[in-house]
Amino acid sequence: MEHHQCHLDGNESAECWISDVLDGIPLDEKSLPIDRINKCITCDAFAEAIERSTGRRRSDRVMTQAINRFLALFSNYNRELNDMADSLKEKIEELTVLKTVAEALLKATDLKKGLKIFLSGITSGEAFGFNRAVVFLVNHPRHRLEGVLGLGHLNVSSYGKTWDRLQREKLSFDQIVEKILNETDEPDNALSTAVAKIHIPLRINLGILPKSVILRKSFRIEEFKDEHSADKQVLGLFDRNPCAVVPIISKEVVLGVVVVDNPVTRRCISDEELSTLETLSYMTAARIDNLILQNQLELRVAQLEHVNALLQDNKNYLVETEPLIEAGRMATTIAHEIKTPLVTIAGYAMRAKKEHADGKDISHNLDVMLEEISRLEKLAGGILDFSRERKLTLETLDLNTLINETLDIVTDKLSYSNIEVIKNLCDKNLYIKVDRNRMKQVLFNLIDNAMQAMPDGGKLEVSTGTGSTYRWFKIKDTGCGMSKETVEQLFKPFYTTKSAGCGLGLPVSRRIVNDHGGYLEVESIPGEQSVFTVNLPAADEV
Amino acid sequence: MMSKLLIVEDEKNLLELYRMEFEEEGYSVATAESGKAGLELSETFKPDLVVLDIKLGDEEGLKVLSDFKHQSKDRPVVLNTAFTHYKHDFTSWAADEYVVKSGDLTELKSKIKALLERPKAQG
Repeated sequence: MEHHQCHLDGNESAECWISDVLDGIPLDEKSLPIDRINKCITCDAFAEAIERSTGRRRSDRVMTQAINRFLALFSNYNRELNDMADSLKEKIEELTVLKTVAEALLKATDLKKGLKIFLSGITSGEAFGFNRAVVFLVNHPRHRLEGVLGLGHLNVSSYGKTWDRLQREKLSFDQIVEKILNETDEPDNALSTAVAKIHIPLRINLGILPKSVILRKSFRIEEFKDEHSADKQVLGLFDRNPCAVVPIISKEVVLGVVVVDNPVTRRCISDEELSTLETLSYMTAARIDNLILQNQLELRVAQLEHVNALLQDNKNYLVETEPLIEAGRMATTIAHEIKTPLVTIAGYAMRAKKEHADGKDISHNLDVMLEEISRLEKLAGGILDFSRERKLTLETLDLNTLINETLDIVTDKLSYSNIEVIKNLCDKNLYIKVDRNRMKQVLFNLIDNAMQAMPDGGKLEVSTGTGSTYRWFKIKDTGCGMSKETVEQLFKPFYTTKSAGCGLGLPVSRRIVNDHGGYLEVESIPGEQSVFTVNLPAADEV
Repeated sequence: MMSKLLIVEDEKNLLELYRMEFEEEGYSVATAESGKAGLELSETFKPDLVVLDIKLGDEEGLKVLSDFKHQSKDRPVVLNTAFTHYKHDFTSWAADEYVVKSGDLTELKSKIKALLERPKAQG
C-alpha cells in the first residue's frame, strides 16, 4: 500500500503518518522526529483524525481536548529547550575562544608578541572576527595614551593588499599563535606604524579613547565621528566606522584600551560582542600587565648594559692613556727640576760677568755654578736609573756577603759623618737570586737616605734575617724620622724633603726590589727613627 | 727710606743670589726658605713687598699667597715660579705680579720697582 503525502511539508518525499495509520499502514517510530510531531499536531489531518476517533461521549471529548493541550505544552517546552541548548552551545564556544586566547597569551615571551596574540584573538575569524583591532597603552609618567600595535589593514582602499598576511593565509588561531611565537624581528605592519605615531593626552574632552581610560568604561558607537576624538590621526584611522573601545584594567590600574572596528564589513558591534570583548580584556589584563612590567625591566636592563659598555670603553681608554698621562706628568716634573738649577746657574753667570767687568773676585759665583751643575748631573743620573732598561742579570749569592761588601765601601764616609754602624747579621748564609749591582744600588740608596736623616751623626743598624720563603734586610737609623704624610709621598718620583736629594733614590730602589719579586717597607717614628725593610724571595744554595 | 723686601724661596743658592742682587739695588732684604718661616718673619720685618715662589704640586704655595694677602691686603706680592701655567689658576690672581723664574733678573727688578712706586690704594 502506498504512503500518503504530508499536507504541510512541501517536501514530496515526506509521508503523512496519520493518514497512513488510519489506512492500516504500521507506524515506523524512528521516522518521527520531535520537530515533525510539533508540526503534525497543528495539521488539519491530525485534527480530523482526532475528530474521527473521538466518541460522542462528553468524557471522550474532554479527554481529547486535554491531550491536545498537553501536546501543545509539550511542544512549547521542547522549543524552549532547543533554544536554551543553542544558546548554551554558543556560550561554551565563546568561553572556549576566550580561554584559548588567554592561554595563548601565557606563551608570549615579550610584550609585543603578547599584544599580537591578544589582537589576533580579536580579529581571527575563529574567535571574534573583527576587521581590525588596535591597542593603546597608558604612559603614566607622561599622562597620555600611546598607540602601540594594530592588526588589520590601514585603510579600506588597501584592503586585500595589506590585509594582514596571517588573515590571507587563512590560518587557524593556533597556527597564528605558533607563527607569532616563532617570528623574530618581524617588521611592523602599516597599521602599527601609523598607530605608533599617535599620542593622546589623558583629558576627558579629547574623545572616547581617553574617556574610556578616565571613566574605566567601555563605549560602542555606530559611527566614529568628530565628537569621538579631537585627534586628526585618530579620526582618520577610525573614519566613520562602527567601533568599540574597551579599557584594559589590571589591579585597579588602567593599562590602556583596545579599539575594534569593522571598516570592511561595516557591521555594527552588538552588545553581546562588546560584553565578550570586556570579558576577554578582563581575563588577559593581568598577563598584559606582567608583560608591560617585563618590557620595562628589559628596557632598563638594556639601558644599564649600554651605560656599562660606555663605562668599559672609558675604562679601556683610561687604561690606554694612563701611561701617556704619567709620562707627561713626569716630563713636566723633570723640566721643573732641571729649570731651577739652570735659572740659578744663569743668574750667577750674569752676576759673574758683571763683577768680572768691575774687576771683582768671581770665585764664589763659580762655586755656586759648579754646585748646581753637579746637582744637574746627579739628577740626570737619577732619571737614567729610573728609566733604564729593567733587565736583570741574576746570580745566587749570600745576602750577608752582599751587605758586608757594600758596607766596606761606605765605612769611611759613615765614620766621617759621625755615624756608628751596628751589624746584626743572621749567623747562617741567606741565599737570594739577585742582580748584584742593582741590589748594591738599593743598599747604597738606603744607607745614603739614612745618612741624610742624621746630619749630626747617629747610629745605623743593619740587620738580616729569614722567613719561610723570604730573606730580609733592615736599615735602621736614629735620625729625624718622618711624618705619616711624608711616608705616603716617599716613593713618588722627585719627592724630596732634603736640599741635596733629587727625589729619585727611593722610587728607583723600590722599583729594583719589585723587579726581583720582593717588596720594600718603611716604618718611621717622627723625631726618633726610620726603618726600611727589603724582603726578597729565598733562593736555594747553588 | 729703604724699601723692605721679603723673599721666600726654597732654593738656597737662588735665594742668596736674590739677596745680593736686591741689596745692591738698595733694598733692605729678608729671606725665608719656606712659606711658614716667611709669614712669621713678615710679622716683625714688616716688608713693603713679598717675592714668593710657588712650586708645582705644592698646594701650600697658593695658600701661603692668600695668607700673605690676609696679613696685609695692600702689600704687593710678586709670584716668582718656574711655571707659566699658574697664570691661569684663578687663585694666583690675588698676586699683584707674576714673574716666571729666569737667570736674568731684569723683569723681576722692574716689576718690583713699579709696584713699590704705585700710589697706595685709598682707605
